[in-house]
Amino acid sequence: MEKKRLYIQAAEQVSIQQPLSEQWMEDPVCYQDTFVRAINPSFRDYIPANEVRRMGNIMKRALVTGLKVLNDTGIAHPDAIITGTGMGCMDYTVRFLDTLVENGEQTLSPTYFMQSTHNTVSSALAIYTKTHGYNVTYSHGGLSFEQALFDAWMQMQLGTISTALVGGHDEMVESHFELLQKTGYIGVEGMVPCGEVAMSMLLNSDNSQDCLCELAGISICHKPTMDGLKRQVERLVHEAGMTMGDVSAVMTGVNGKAANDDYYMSVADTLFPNVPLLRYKHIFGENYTVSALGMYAAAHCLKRNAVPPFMYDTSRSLSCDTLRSILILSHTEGKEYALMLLKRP
Amino acid sequence: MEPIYITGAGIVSAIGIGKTETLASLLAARTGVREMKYLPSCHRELPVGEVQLSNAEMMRTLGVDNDPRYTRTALIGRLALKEALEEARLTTQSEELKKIHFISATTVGGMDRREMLHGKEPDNNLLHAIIATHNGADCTEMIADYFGDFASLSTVSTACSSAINAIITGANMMRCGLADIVVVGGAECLTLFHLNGFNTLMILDHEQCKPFDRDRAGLNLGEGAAYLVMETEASVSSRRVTPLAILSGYGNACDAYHQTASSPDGEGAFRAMQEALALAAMSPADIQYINAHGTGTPNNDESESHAIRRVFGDSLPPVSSTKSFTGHTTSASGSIEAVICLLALQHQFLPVNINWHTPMENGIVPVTNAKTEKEIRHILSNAFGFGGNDSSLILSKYDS
Amino acid sequence: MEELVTELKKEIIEALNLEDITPEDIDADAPLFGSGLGLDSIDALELIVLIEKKYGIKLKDPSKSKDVFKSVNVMAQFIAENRTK
Repeated sequence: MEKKRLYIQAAEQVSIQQPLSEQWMEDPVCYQDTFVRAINPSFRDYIPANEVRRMGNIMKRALVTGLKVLNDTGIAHPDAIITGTGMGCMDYTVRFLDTLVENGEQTLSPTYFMQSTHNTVSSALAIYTKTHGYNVTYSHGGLSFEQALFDAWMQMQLGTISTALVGGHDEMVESHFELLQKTGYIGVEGMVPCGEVAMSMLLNSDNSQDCLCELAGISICHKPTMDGLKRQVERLVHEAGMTMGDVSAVMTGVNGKAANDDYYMSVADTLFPNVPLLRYKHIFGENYTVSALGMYAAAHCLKRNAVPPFMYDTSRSLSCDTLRSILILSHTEGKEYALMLLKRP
Repeated sequence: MEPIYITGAGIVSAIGIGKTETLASLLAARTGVREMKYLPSCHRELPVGEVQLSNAEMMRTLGVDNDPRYTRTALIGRLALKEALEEARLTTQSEELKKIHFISATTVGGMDRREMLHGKEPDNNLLHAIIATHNGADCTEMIADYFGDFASLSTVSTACSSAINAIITGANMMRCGLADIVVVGGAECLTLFHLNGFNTLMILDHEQCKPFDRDRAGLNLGEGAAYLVMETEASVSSRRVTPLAILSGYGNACDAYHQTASSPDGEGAFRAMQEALALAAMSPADIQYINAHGTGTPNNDESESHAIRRVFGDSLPPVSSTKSFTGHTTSASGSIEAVICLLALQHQFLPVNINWHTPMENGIVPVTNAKTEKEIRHILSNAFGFGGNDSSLILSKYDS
Repeated sequence: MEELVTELKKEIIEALNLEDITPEDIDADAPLFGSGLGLDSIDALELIVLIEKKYGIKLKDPSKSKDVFKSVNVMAQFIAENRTK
């Protein structure tokens, strides 16, 4: 099967940085808190008040980023809408749970339940844009976005779709943050803050339009050995028509927690000892699908052919002379690894 | 498309633990929808399709310690997966398993643990479990890890069409040449969360559901799990296994109408079925049986009837819903019903639509007699989820 | 009754999250569904929860909701006649 080349045509975000803009590349907002909520855009500018009223934040943010991307690219109905979310509509889920506990299975809100299933975000995008194509949601913790992207990539290779709106979305609520903090997943001393994520991008197998960058490959594996991971990286790079030396930078999900960062540094030191390292979680925080924001950031860096200085991981005093490609590395507790290769077209 | 071979299948639901019990219930037209026994809800007036084993009993069967961290979803999932892997003669804890991709579907995951402990102050182990098992990834891991390491684990979550979508993702991986063997399906246990959620939407029947009946009043919730082992032709030959059935086609479309209701013209359902037929290079006349989504809600059955007629026109094959057997098993329904279809192909019978009495206006008239006049060669199965996530698949008889 | 109507308008705004609407904006005789406020089937379910929670009225048949929730005045009348709280 001849490999198709795929392009990220546009990507938009709502996060703890200024929404729907790349202002963070010049002037990032810096935080000291352990939990930071996303900065919301004015939703009314995109969605009528009557329709917005029932939606939780995660849905509004996903809609706005999705609508903006579709508008920017002039694609009214993508062939597919594929979404990754770690915890889905957590706000409404927790509210429903709270009232379940308080009211004891009586007088519960249908709205909270209806919008609590993980696929409501992806469906909302379809309902709003009247898009009948393929629509799926992946909910696999820290790999949810990668699985959504992988599905889109696969179907484009099969030729069943040529455009896909792919997104990673997650919100956070205070009570769940406190639970996660108690178990040491987040809110640990020295860690980046817990953030919120909404990122939509338009993937296209047609490169005639102006694009941000090329998605040159993606690979996901479960409990690989270091040798196994090395082979995956080499294969990914080779299939993209590149050599290991063509990888200009490696972007990792280091977040200030040793138990997390050690896995990244181990892979980077073994496979790419002399390559500049980039990081993004100190800008966007930590959450299940925050790697979507990493990809968004990498795509915009490639478009501008420049990396903001604060994105370099200072554990290496290396920076990029040329920016041809970025390899994005994600892992979940050292068990599952995702590799995503972006390059300038 | 190139045929994909199903070489193993496991199923656990209200009508049986494993295929043998399930088949017996189907042939005896014996429902598994009963009075609530295991779920600690105060809404005991709601009939449900519960797996007839307590968590403790499942842990004993699986040979694991009685541990409150196990979500019921994972226990049910493990039982189903065990049967599928054994039938396909796949060795657990092996290098063989490390080449196999596991794609599981769930929406509630470990919500049964979460809701028990919500608002309470448990010790740290349990606390970790609350958070962990609620997460789709942890639930899938809890099912998979019992058997060893797979090549990858994924979790699909599209409400009631989840399991068919897991099957579709697995099939696409194979067609891309990324996998020779995949294990796909879904698992979901009953929870207070979604029982009460569906109750607030006022779509639950207080009696046994009546899919496609004029007087239908809603659905009964159920729980269960089912997994399929799917392989390429080359893998089947090299492993010398005998397929049970063939996956011939599938489709996924979005109704794009409403978060909980289906459109009057069933557009998403129509497109999903059309896509499945196109991929299978079949026409409607090639289908000998349709396993409908058929929840028993006024809305679904009307919308689905309309969509089926749009596709099949005058060449309407026998149709039935098996949800009055199992209840609506939500995220697992797509794979549970796929296994029911598999049994129908293997044993050449039509799963009946029990509890049907009166035709609905413009609705399909379902099968009430299991005896088939024609050989059943191809079956279309539907699963439609909240949000208009509509999926269909076509299973075909394997001629040995 | 006037007090109940005013109270009901506030309750509806809160239950249905009608952020931009004040009680003065709601015409008590205007249809709540279809035209008027343009509410839908999910809103009807929320109103069923509202009347049970606040006024102790259990509406078991959702198809009756069209008549009961025709307008704020009709709703107020129904509540006045059937409330247990």
